[in-house]
Amino acid sequence: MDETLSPLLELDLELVQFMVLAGVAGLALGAIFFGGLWWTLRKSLESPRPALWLLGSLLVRMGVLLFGLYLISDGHWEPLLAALLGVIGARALVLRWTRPVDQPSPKQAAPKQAAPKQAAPSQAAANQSPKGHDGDRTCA
Amino acid sequence: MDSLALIAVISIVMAGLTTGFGTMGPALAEGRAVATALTALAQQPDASATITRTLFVGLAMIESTAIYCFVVSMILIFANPFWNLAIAQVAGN
Repeated sequence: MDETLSPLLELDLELVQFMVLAGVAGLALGAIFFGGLWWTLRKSLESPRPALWLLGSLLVRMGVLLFGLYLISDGHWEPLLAALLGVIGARALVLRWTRPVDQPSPKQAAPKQAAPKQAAPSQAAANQSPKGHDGDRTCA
Repeated sequence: MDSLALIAVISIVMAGLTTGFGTMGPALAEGRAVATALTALAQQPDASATITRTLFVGLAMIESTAIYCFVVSMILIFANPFWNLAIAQVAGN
C-alpha cells in the first residue's frame, strides 16, 4: 500500500508546490499589469496624447503578462490556472490600494464611521462620570 | 482524419476564435468607457479624481476578461490536456 501510494503523494506535493509558486508569480504579474494601468491612466489624462499612452501601455503590459504566463505554464495547464487566480487576487489588491482615503468601501464605511462615535461617548462618559456624580451631588 | 489531427484542428481554430472575440469585446467596452470618462471629465473637471478612479476600476474589470480569454487560448495551444491525453493513448497503444 505504501509503495503504491507514495509516488502519488509525492507527485501531488510537487504539483501543489508548483501551483503555489505559479500563484505567487501570477500575483506579481497582476500587480505589474494593474499597477501599470493605474499609473498610465493618471499619466495619460494629464498628457496631450492620451491615446498614445493607453495604447503603448496596453501593448507593453499585455506582452509582459502573456510572456510571463507562457513561462509559468511550462507546458502544463494547472500552473496557468493558479497564475490566473494570482492575477485576479492582484487586481483586488491593487483596487484596494488605489482607493482614495476619503472614499472607504461601502462595506467598511458603516462600521468604521459608527464605531468611533459609539466609542467616544462611552469613553467620555467613563472619564467624566465621577465629575458628573460630584456635580450632581453639589447640585443636590 | 485521425483523432490527433481533429484535436489539433479544433484546438487551433477555437484558440483563434477565443482570442478574436476576447479582444473584440473588451476593445469595444474600453473604447466606450474611456470616451464616457473623457466626456465626464470635460463637463466636470473638479471631479477628476473620482472619475479617474472609477475609470480605473472599470478598465481593470474589462481587461480582466481579455486576460481570461488569453489564458484559455494559451491552454488550448501550449498546454492542451486533451492533446496530452491523446498522445499518451497513442503512445500506450
